[in-house]
Amino acid sequence: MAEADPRHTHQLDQQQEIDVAALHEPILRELRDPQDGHEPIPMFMLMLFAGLIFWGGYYLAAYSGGFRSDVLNPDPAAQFAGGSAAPKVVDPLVLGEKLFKANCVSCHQASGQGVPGQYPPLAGSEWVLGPDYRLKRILLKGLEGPVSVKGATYNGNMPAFEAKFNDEKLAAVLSFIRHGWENGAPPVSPESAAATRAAVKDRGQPWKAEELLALEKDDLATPAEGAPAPEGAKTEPAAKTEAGKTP
Amino acid sequence: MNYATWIFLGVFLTFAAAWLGLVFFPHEQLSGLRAQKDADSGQVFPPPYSGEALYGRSVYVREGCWYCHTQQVRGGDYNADLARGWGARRSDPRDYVHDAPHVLGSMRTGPDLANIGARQPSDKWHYLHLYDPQLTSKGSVMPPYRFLFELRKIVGQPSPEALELEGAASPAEGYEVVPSREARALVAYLKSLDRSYEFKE
Amino acid sequence: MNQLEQDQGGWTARRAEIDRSCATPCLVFYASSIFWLLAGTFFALLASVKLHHPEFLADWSWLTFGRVRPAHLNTVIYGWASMAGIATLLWLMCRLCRVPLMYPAMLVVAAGLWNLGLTVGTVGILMGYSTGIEWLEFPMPAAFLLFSGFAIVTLWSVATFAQRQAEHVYVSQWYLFAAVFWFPWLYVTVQLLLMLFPVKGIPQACINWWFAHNVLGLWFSPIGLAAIYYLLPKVIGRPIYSYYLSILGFWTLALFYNWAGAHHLVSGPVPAWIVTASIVGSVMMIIPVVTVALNHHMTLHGNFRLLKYSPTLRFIVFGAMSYTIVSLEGSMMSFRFLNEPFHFTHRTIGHAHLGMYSFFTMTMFGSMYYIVPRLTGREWHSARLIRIHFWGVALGFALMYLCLSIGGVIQGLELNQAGESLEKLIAQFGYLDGISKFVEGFKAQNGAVPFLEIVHGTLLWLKLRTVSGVLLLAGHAAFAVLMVMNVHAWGRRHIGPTLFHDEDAADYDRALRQARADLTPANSGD
Repeated sequence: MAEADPRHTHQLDQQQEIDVAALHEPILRELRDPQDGHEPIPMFMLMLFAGLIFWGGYYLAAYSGGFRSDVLNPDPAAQFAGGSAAPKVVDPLVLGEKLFKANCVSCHQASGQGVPGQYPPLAGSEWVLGPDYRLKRILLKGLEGPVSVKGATYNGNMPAFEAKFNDEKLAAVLSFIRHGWENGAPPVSPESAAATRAAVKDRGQPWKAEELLALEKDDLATPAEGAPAPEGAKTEPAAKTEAGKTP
Repeated sequence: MNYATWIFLGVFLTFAAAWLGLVFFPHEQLSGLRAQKDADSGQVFPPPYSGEALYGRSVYVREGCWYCHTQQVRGGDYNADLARGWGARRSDPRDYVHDAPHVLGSMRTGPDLANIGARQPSDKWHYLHLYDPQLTSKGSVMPPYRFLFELRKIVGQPSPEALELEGAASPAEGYEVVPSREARALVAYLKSLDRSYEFKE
Repeated sequence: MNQLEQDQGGWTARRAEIDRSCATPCLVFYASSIFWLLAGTFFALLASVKLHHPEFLADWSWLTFGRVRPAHLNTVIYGWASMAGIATLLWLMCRLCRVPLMYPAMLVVAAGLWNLGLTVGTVGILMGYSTGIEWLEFPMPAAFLLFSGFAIVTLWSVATFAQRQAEHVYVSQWYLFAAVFWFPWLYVTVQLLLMLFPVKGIPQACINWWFAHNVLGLWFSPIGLAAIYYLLPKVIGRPIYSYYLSILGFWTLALFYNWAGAHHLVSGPVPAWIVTASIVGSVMMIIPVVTVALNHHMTLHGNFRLLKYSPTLRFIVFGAMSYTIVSLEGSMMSFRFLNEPFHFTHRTIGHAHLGMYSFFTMTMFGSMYYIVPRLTGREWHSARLIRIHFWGVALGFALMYLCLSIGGVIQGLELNQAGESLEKLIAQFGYLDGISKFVEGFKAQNGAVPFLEIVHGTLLWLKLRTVSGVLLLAGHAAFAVLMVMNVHAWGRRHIGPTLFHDEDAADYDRALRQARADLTPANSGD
């Protein structure tokens, strides 16, 4: 790449390329093609990069769960815990809240206020605060048709949760809605839930509000099978007997 | 030194390394996952989709529901997926063994749907919500899917499937709005989204 | 005419010949890319309006949000960005290999196949034949057409590279050469594993995100960087700062960018190691990004005055700076504590546009301002239209990025951390107290803000985003007008380069001379 006298080359080119020049002004005025400079890489940058690579190695080693396919939680602490932990005692209200959030909030809302004209409220509702036998039945089999709650009429259909909740979950979610939003009604025990479940197990379709209102007590007489009613089931004032029973 | 050879080799090797890491090994590790059969009840988890739900899934894919709704309940310490009640547990790779295309999603313009079938098992709600989201969720930005419904003249008895629309939303006298086959399938799919079962170790 | 450059050995004549040989295929690709840019912008605006007014055009199934959004994504990715990228690639390849473009007809056929694929794919998506996999929504026939078109480009690139006349292989060529291999490998892998013989469930999600991230990292980024590496030193007439930095930047990008994809699945139903490997890959991207940023910055250093005049330089530098920002942002966003709250929000959309728009699209605009006059032999019609283009897209993009970022961060906090929605608190306590109460209210992950309140809180930002879309569309329209006038030789032709602040052209010359003043004869010649 010998450097010729610039003026000289200039003239040569002018002669050679007079036609092209007319067509290609943009090309003629171009600066030269890019070249490489050869400045060294700054030291501090190399050190920063070395540090980064060191961190990368550490992070990969510490948070990869042994490269196993069944470890989803990368926290190194979590992999050594677990195992020997004692079986957790589940607070029914905590379980109930979890179940409520997973199954009920989309209609009844986290505030328990429902949606005006669409979904009845649970907070302060006479159905929730009142005797629990209606509530248990609604949850087990669902509810259909018009129902009046806090002076407003709703016409929807509450789905059945019989297959989805076992007795413990049923009791937990009912206890939660009876306790939450300053409702303050007494909890429901898994035993009483079991009893009601057994009593209504042959019913096929959801309840109508009138049927439940006609029900005067937790009628556990099961004409078909005559399932043995556990003692906890006799509870009209559910609260007292159950309070003593809850472990 | 022949530049082209070196660049080609380097480019190939770096590509192959990441291909092994993010395509091959994940596939090796996870493609063997199968649904779990519960010995006692004979039930399979996750349950396979019914034919109708599968058709509904294709509608879900076609209409791009998954651009605004994820289907994954994340673990981790910095999010509220579990606290929001979007699932009772973290999603597991096994939950998705029947899924292709995967619809994990990348955006939460709307809520997560991994367990919508558990949260919202009512047909009626889903139909109203698809027909016009404002009827069930005032202020939602979800588009209405009225094109999945049919407005038709009532001949004889009104259809039992007709939507119970009130006020301004109700169709003209003598007409009713009924879900099309696609809407019914879509709802069947949404109702099948229930990953509340637990896997055995 | 500024004859600043002295010439040797008839290279100028050769250069003119090369440019002429590129004219037809490059202009076909460029013209198509602008058509798809306008179509993509139109789909984007539709989708944006639909996000805050869901009733807008809601009764046509083919214009529902869930179809318009992928139509936008695929037209801008495969239509605009890829076609503009391919044209730039063709021209750079020819120039850097110093050979005239071979087989121009073959490349025109490739452009035809590509356009046909895009048309089939876009119509397919609107008709409801989307594959349902993000970034790959085009149905099978369209994918086949795209791949055939691309195979031609790859073969052509290999042939051109083999015929090269230049002894030195410049850094831009490494990137281009890598890109023409990476993209078809990627595309074939995912088409095989996701479409032809689909794997199910989680491996599919891993492959999906590996692809989606690599399209950016191994296809658009290399082309964008190649263009910057060529045009930045070219326009200012200085050598690139350091060859060593170029090498380090290229090979670390090749090594790490590949791995970043699975950071889209953080804390999802994926084995921890996959996500962790991706986080490490994303963070390691700091190395190539800082390296490239330093290299570009030091090349331009002391000559920022040129940005006032040269449209090419202004767009290119805008793109180069955005590349640095978007990559560092991406590295940060991959960390679990930032990814979990903000990944599923509008912030991610903002981030994606920072990469695809602010970096790549702006770089392509800059390249086209430089390349097209050399293809047609005509200068740009009007500096005013270029100015409308620049400020329309620059301000439009800034507004969009700001809206999506602010709206997305609020959305993420309300989804995951806040105790009450910002909107409610501001209504109750006014702006300052409301915001401070919002921050105070961060409790760990209680999910207490009702979902519809979060949705409502994003509306303002989404509406502003639509406004930004209008600005972008105005900019794109100005550019399309310029392009049509240039190709058809309509209107008055500029004499000399079309510069911003044309009245100060003498100052531009001074600045250019100054930029080259300290160069020794050894590195100032060709």
